[in-house]
Formats: sequence, C-alpha cells, structure tokens
Amino acid sequence: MRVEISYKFIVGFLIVIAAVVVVSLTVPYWPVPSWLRQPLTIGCALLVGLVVGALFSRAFAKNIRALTEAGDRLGQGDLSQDVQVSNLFCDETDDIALAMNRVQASLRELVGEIRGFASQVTEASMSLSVTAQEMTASSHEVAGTVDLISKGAETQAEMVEASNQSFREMAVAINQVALSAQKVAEAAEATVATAQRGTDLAKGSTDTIRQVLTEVEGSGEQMVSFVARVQQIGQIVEVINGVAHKTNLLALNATIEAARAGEYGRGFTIVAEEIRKLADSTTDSSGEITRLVDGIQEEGTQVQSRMAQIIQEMEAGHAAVDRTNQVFAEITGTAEDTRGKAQVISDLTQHQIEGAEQISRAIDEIDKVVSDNAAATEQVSAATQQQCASMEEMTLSAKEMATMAEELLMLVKKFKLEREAQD
Amino acid sequence: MTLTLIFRIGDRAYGLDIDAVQEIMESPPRYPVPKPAPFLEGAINAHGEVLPVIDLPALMDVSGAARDARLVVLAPEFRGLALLVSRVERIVPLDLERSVPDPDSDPYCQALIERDDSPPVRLLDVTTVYTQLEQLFNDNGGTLCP
Repeated sequence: MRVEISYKFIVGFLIVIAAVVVVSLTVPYWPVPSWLRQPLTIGCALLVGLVVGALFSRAFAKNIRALTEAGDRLGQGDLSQDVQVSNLFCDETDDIALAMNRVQASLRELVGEIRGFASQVTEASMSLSVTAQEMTASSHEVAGTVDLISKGAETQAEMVEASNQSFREMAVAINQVALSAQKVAEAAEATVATAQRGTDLAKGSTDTIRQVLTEVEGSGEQMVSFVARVQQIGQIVEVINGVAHKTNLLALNATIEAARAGEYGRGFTIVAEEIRKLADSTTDSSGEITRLVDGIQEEGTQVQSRMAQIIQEMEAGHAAVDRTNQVFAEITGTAEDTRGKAQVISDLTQHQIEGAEQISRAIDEIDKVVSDNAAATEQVSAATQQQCASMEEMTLSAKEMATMAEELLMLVKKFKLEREAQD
Repeated sequence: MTLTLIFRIGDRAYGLDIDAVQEIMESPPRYPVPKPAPFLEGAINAHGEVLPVIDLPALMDVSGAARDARLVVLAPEFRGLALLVSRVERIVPLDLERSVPDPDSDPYCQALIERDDSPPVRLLDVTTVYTQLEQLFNDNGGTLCP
C-alpha cells in the first residue's frame, strides 16, 4: 500500500493528537490524584509525540541514509549493491531507490559491456599485434623470397637466353641435317639410277658372255673336231711316211741290186736313185706335214686348253657378272632404302624445323614472360617492402591499441559489478 | 766313183762299198741266241739263212748311240753278217781318191774320204770287224762261231 510522505506526516500528527485526546479523556478514570491528571496528560501527550516522532524520523532518516550511501557508492563506482529501503508503506524513497537501482543496473550493464569489449579489444589487439608481428616476419621472409625469386628470374632470363642461343644453333644444325638428308636422298637416287644402269649393263654383259660362251663352246667343239681331223691327217701321213720309208729301203736295195747287176743295172741304178730321191722328198714332205700336224695338234691342244681356260674364265666372268648383278640389285635395294630413310629424315627434319619455329616462338614468349616476371617481381619486391613497413606500423598501432584497451579496461575496472568483487 | 752306203755309228758317218752289202733289211724278226755276247744281238732269218746280228756301236765301244731298225746284211763273201748301226742313211757315190789321213786313228776306219757337200766319211774296215770278232770269239773260248 502506498502512502506518500506527506500523508505519513499527517497520519503521525493525527496519531499524536488522537493519543492526547484519548489520554485526556481517559485520565479522570485513572486512579490518580486529580492534580496529577493534567501533568500526566501533558506527559502522555509529549511521550506519544516523542515516540511517534522518533519512529517517523528514524524510519525516514534510515531511508535517506540508505539512499545517500547508495549515491556515494555509485559515485565511487560500486555498482555491486542494489539500494534497499524498508518501508511499511511505500513512498517516494522507494521510487528514488527504484530509480537509482535502474540507473545502477543500466550502468552495470554498460560497464559490463564496456569491460567485455575492452577485454575483447585487448585480446584482439594482442593477437593483432602478434599476427602483425608474424605478418611482418612473413613479409620479411616474403621479401627475402622475392629477392631470391628476382635473382632466380635473372638466372631464368639468362638461361632462357642461353636456351634460345642453343636452340638457334640446334635449328641451324637441323637445317644442315635436312640439307644433308636431301643430299643423301639425291645421292641415293643417283645411286639407284647408276645401279640400274649397272644392272642393265650387267644384264647386257651376261647376255654377251652367254652368247660368246656358246660361240666359244661351239668353236671348242669345232676345234676338237678339227684336231681329230688333223690327227687323222697325221695318221695318213704316218702311212705315207711308212710308204716312203719302205720306198727308201726298196730304193737302197734296188741300188744295191743294180750295182750287183753291173753294167746292165746302171740305168736301174739311176731309176732307183730317182725313186730314193722321191722317197726322201716324200719323207721330207711327210716329215714337214708331221711337224705341221704336230704343231697344229700342239697349237690345237693349246687352243683347247686356252678355250677351256677362256670358258672357265668366262664362266667365272659370268658368275662375277651375276654376282655384280646381285650386288647391283642389293645396291639398288639399299639405295632405295637409303632414299626412303633420307626422305623420312627430311620429313622429320621438316617437322623438326616447324617444331623448332614453334619452340622458338614459345621461347620468345617465355623470354617475354620472364621479363614480365622480373618486372613484376621487382614490383612485388617493392610492394613487399612497403607491406613490411605497413606491417611494422600496424604492429605499432596494434600495440598502441592494446595499450589503450588496457587503459580502458583499467578505467572500467574501477566499477564494481559484483558483490563478490567487493569482497 | 764308188757307190757307198752311208750309215752312222753314234754321230760318226761311216761308209761301206755296196758291193759288200747284200741288202738292207727292215726290222726282221730277231731271235735270241744262248750265252750272248754284249755285241751279239741275236740272229735273223735272211731268206732262209740264219745270220748273227752284230751290234757295231757296242763292238766299237760307242756308248749312248741310237740303233736303227734297219739292218745292213753283208754279202755272202763277207761271211753274211747282219750289222746293227745307229742309222742307215743313203747310198752315195764317193771318190775314193780323195782319201785323207784320219786324225783320230780309228781302227775301224779304212780310209777317210772327203766329200764336197758333207763332212768326210770313214770307210768301214770290215777286216778289222772280223779280226775283232775273231779275237773276241777266241777270248770267249770259241763259243760264238758263225
């Protein structure tokens, strides 16, 4: 039940007045002398007034004191206790206490939040500081790495240049290979043509040799037949020789007989001499023929052996020409094979030249990219150094922020929020 | 001029008057004789008469000489010997007046006769042949007697 202070004062006065009235009315019935009645009444009135006044003022002062203490605590930043007033009936002090408690609650909430935020800010700034330090270190590492990359890019550029040089030389070599392959192909073609001519010639030689061989063999047979005939002539000459020999003997004996006949045999002696001369002449001629026949036979034998030799040689020549033919065929095959391979090499080198041009373009692009990379690396290096500087500044700022957050926390810690904190 | 049969013993030309020659026989069948002497080359049948064959080169000690297939059969008045010579050549007329001394003193050479167209010819001394044969017969104990 709410009774305002003014009404409380009025009720108090009324209570005092009522007490005085009651006392004054009841006194005559008291077993006390009359003279005492008045002073007793006054005394009672005073007593009641004092008691009631004291009660009122004490209650009132107690509440005021509590409010004052609460204000003091609030002023000191102690937000841990609520203001408590004890009234039998609510009045304005309760309102003040309530309002103060609301203020205190708001403050407590605010300070709590500030403290929380400050703590968070401290922690965040600490971790930020740590992170910034780490990032600075990382930036330094990045800067070092970027330097290495920069040097690497230079090396890369040199290597690319060297590669390009080597590649140009290789392209020249490939061109030479292509030219050589072309020449080889041409030479192989010429070889094929020559081998073909050789094969034709060898075939012609084979035919000629075969023809000559046939003719020589025919001549050989003729020669054999000729020698046989000459031998027959020899045999006939032998017979003639024998006849001449006998004739000679007969002439000798006829001469002897004619001599024995003396004068009568003289003519016969001349005839016998003539016969002997004829026989001698025959013998000479037949000897001549025999010599001729012998010579012919000897020459025939020589011719035969020579022909056999020629036939052998021609057969050897035939075999050699056959072998030559085979060799020409092999040469043709090899040369055609070589020509095909040289053509393949030529095609391949053509592809290689195209590929080399592509690679050359690629190397040029790589060169550009490497140059761009070098430039970009320098930019990155510069940026990294700036970043390093920024990160150092950021580290400093983070440290400053941490300090400020700590100071804020110190400030906020002046407020006591919990009863335990007070203890 | 005397008709003379020219033959060779080794490389020397000998001559024999054809009056001393019966005939020239061409390789008649030759029959071996027992215990022959080195110069006795068997015997032949000459028209029914058996004649000894005397190897003149062997008798004259001419080594390495050829032998002709023809035999010179001597006339019966020359005791019918068949002579084996190196070669029977021919019958030529010789001028016996053109005799020259023999520088070799050949015992079988009766006379050395010069010729116009050929080297000189030694006339065979048939007597020396007989003498030699007889001496050899006697040496051999007379076992070889014609």
